[in-house]
Amino acid sequence: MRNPKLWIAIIALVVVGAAIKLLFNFSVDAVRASVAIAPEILFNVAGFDVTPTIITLVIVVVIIILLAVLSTRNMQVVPSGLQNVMETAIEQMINLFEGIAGPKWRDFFTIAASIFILVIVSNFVGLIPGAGSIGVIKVGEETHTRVENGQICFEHDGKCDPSGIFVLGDAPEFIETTSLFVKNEIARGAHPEEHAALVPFLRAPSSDINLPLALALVSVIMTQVYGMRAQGLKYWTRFFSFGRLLKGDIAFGLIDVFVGIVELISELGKIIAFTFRLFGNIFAGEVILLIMAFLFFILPIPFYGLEFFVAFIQAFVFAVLTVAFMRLATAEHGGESHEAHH
Amino acid sequence: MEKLGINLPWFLAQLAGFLIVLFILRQFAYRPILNMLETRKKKIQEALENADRVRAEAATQQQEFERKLDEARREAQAVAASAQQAAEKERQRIIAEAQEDAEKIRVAARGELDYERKQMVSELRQQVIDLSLLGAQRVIGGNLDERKSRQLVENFLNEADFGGTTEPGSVANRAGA
Amino acid sequence: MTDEGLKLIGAALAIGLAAIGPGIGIGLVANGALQAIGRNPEAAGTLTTTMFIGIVFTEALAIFGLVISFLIGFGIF
Repeated sequence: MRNPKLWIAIIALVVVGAAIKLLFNFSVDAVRASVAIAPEILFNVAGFDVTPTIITLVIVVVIIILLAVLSTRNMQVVPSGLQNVMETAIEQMINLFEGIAGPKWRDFFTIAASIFILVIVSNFVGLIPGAGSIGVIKVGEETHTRVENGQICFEHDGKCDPSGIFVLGDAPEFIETTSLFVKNEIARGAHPEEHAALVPFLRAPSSDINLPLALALVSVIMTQVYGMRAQGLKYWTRFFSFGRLLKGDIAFGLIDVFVGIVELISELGKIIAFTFRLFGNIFAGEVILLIMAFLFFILPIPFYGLEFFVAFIQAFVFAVLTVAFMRLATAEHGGESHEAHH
Repeated sequence: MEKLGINLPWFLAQLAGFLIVLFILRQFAYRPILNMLETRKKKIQEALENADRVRAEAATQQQEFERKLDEARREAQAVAASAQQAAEKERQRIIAEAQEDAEKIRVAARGELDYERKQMVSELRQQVIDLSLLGAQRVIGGNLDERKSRQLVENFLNEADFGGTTEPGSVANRAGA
Repeated sequence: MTDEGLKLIGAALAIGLAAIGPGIGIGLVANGALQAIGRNPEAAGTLTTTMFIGIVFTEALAIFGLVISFLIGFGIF
């Protein structure tokens, strides 16, 4: 291979992996993966439940802040290094948004580009090896899991102290050998595998439904704001057009009202589609990688490449659709403005 | 909603994360980079305009230069032509002079030759007279009146000379004339 | 058949059936876009962006199916 840096990176990855394996007494034959839509709670800080997705979000925000600050700390007319990368990325986005929104791209740029950057970085961070597969084991909702003498037990009565970091595996037999708590739980009819699961330290924020929902709400609400800014109060006739109904034109008035209701529903559908498109793609990608890892050890590699593609495409689509909807909202509504003259 | 994981604190946390990203990027990335792109665009435009101006200047200078070059070339041609003319004249002059000289030398040489020939002819005549007198004395066997007979031969010779058609005679004649 | 089993069948059917239409639809969108790019390669950039938007709208249907599938499969209702 011509590129020695690649080999250095691979060797460093192997060394770090081996060091983690040696330093932390983790067990490979740990637990089933946690396939949970809602992120699991890692710990609680002052009444706030911290989840893996929130930890990852903090990392993502730090990465983005570092990128932004370092790339523009020392602006040069002739760019180099990080500044060049950032400028190229932003120029590409400008070209993309200009192609969709025309000269109005400037208004939409801040939101759409921020969505793009946040989504792509959080998707990529979720693909870091170890994200989703290194974590602690939890049983049920409250109990933390510990390791003692190389064995996993669950701290429900304060007896087991050493904590452990676990790597995903597929041997849930420990459940039979562990504490009374679990046995009692099983005896009470609880499914043991539902209650013991690996909670990873890192999980892509976009696979937590809250981030896609937040972005979707920001996107759709800002679309309304831009629409109103461009057209004034007339914008709302898109949803609530009683003009013809009040004039006594019952038939067309009802049609207008119905069209307004459909528009409202489609606006709601936009929120749902935005949310579940991002969430569904990233979450499904994680699940697929997990399932492939259980099927055959080398099988996740092609899907890993696919997930990188999906990670990019979802960020791209989120930003592009935001710009497209904003442009539609700010464009003059041909039919309605025509009606307004009558 | 609960089972989907939608939960107000988490939602607010994610929203806060997005807003932080938005403001940081706007402050530290978009604004300076858009400004920089604008500045660069302006600079490039200026540079292009500058280049255009310089190119136009260069073009006028080039024209000027070519014009001057043409002029110089024409001048040089004129100078060369006049020089050639002068040289031709000089040549003609030299040739003429040389021809004249040659003519002079030839004329001089011819004059000398004529003089020699005249002298030779007169000597020859003297000798012929002498020889003929001697021969006549022998035949007659007596003394002749030397002065009278010499006069006689000379007359004869003169007559023969006028009647002669030989080249030297004519030349001598001309030279004598 | 238990309720749990019926729910799982329902979840599988939800995403399985919801994937058919968008599968065909995305194929048609890509087909049209590729033909257009083949006829007019200069417009490839615009066409690609528009194609992605079209794909995304089509894909949204499958996503709705996936959501229903999640909701059933994870016992949300």
